[in-house]
Amino acid sequence: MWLTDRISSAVLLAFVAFYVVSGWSLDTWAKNAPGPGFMPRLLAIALAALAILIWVGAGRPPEAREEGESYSKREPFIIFLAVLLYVFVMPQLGFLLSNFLLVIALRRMVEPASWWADLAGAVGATVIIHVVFVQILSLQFPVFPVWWGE
Amino acid sequence: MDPIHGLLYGLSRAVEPQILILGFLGCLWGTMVGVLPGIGPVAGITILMPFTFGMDLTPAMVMMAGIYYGAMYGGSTTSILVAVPGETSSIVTILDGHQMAKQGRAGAALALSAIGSFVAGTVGILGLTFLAPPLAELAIGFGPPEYFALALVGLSMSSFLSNASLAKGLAMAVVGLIIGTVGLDIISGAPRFTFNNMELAGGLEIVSILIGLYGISEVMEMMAGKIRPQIRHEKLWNLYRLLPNRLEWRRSIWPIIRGSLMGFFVGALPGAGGTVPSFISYAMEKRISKNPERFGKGAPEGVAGPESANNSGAVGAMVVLLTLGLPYNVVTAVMLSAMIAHGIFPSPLLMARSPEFFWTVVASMYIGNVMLLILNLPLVGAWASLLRLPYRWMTVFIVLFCIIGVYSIEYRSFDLLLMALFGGIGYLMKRVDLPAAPLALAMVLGPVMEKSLIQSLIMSDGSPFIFVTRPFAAASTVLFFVLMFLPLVQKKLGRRIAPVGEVDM
Repeated sequence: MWLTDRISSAVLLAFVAFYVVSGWSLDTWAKNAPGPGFMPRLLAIALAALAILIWVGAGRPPEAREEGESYSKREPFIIFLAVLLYVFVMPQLGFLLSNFLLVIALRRMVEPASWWADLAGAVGATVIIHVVFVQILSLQFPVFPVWWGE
Repeated sequence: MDPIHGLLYGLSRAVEPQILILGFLGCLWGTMVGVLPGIGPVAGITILMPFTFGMDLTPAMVMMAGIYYGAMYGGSTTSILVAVPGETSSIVTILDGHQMAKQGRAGAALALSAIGSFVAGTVGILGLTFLAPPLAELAIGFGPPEYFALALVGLSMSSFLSNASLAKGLAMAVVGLIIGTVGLDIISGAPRFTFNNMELAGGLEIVSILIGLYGISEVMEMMAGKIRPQIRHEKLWNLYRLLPNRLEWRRSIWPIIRGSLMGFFVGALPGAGGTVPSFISYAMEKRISKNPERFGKGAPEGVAGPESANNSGAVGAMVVLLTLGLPYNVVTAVMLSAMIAHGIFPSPLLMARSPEFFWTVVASMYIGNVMLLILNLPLVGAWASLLRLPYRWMTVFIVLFCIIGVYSIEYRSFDLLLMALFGGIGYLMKRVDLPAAPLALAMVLGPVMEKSLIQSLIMSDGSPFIFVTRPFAAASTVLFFVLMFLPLVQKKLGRRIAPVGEVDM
């Protein structure tokens, strides 16, 4: 935990610095009442103090290398990347195609079955989602790519 | 409207087909997310919450409440059958529930859990019916200092009870409050941290962040291989022998009663929810038992007590939400944000201003409790078989539900980006042992806290002593400082209270 605590503490301190700089121009006190910068400054001080406490609480580095729990880094990263890409792709490609691509990407990259099974599954999932949310619940998604109607 | 008339009116509305169906769907979905490890009530509610925005508030709240206590029921099933807790308040049920299953008494353990949950749910709802009105009356006298102090205690308690250190819990609470400062200042209307971006002017969309923190990051965690139940194929349970025998009944009746009463009051305390009462109940039953050595080896009291306590605790948490408008755990925080999104700001006046809403929600809890008993006892085999669903496909559908849910709020890609980023942040937080519950709670409580802090300081001409000169605020402030310095005192004394697990995930 020593290393992760130190990293957490450093990230929190960097975040505090960014927060303070971003809110520098906000008034702390306006007339007889706290201004818009009052709460942010209070919170910045509190977070800086807590980040230092986490740093101090991490103690000394262990003599032997810490044994962490084993977990896969690949799958979570793929899911994160796929969702992030979806955010940028969906407004261009539309809901239908983006969903199909997302499902196929997740299926192929995370414990894939055969290509045919994954393709069929992706088509099925896309159709189910489309029928339930667009046809039945009438959610206003951009169903088709932006160039479709041009 | 007095409680009896209110309840009768609520019952007449709660049996309307739309409310009945949505309540049933809530219970069904809640039981499902309770059964499935990795998806707790918070994720269960947040994923579905955006779809409730098109409904009236009453059926939406009935559905969300159904998910909450449905998850409390469902969580025990997998704890007993496969030693995998569906959600945190069922962790303690593994100790004796799974041992009973190994001894061929799974049916009895499940029945005790379901009946205990039913009795506790009923006790909790009776408590809500008769205690909420006087509590709301008392709270009408609360001003900004009391609200600020109560919210502060709620936040610090949730940090204190998280399974990380107090400093980490509090740091996450402060980060949550910081997120709440983005947008227009509540008092002056000045833009803060908006970076000239119109999307940020209205503040960060809390639901998107919650879905990222509890939906996407849970999927990432599942795929990292941390939460994957090892389903045993051998039949270690006999579900057809559902009824407990006479000895098991005798041993369970008092734990059910004690757990129900204690759970309701402890659940109403800041940060407690359903998890803390279940741990307290187990410890209490073991301590007062004449044969404590039976605990951990299949004692029915070890199942009946905690399962009752976690259900009445869940209702206890609802009391504070509906009477004070303060969420004291993440699930009720999510419900509060849904109510705010529907334009209702819960306060002690809720019962007076919207009695039809309040009493319909309470009455639907009675009906939901009966639905859950019916859903959980005869269908227990079907629920257990849910664990055989391929996780690869489940993750795909959860990701799609999260995306659709977030996008349907305001049809903005920015909210999806927020969800994705907080999904990644939530996953990293798990890796470095930073708790998400205080952050989520603080995000929802943040605007209330800031507003009441500023109003208090205006009332006192800038003097912070206002928090110690008014009795209720002073008591809450003292409690806050006790919580802050307790770890130091414990360290000095060389003792430490073991954390009880992250609250209400």
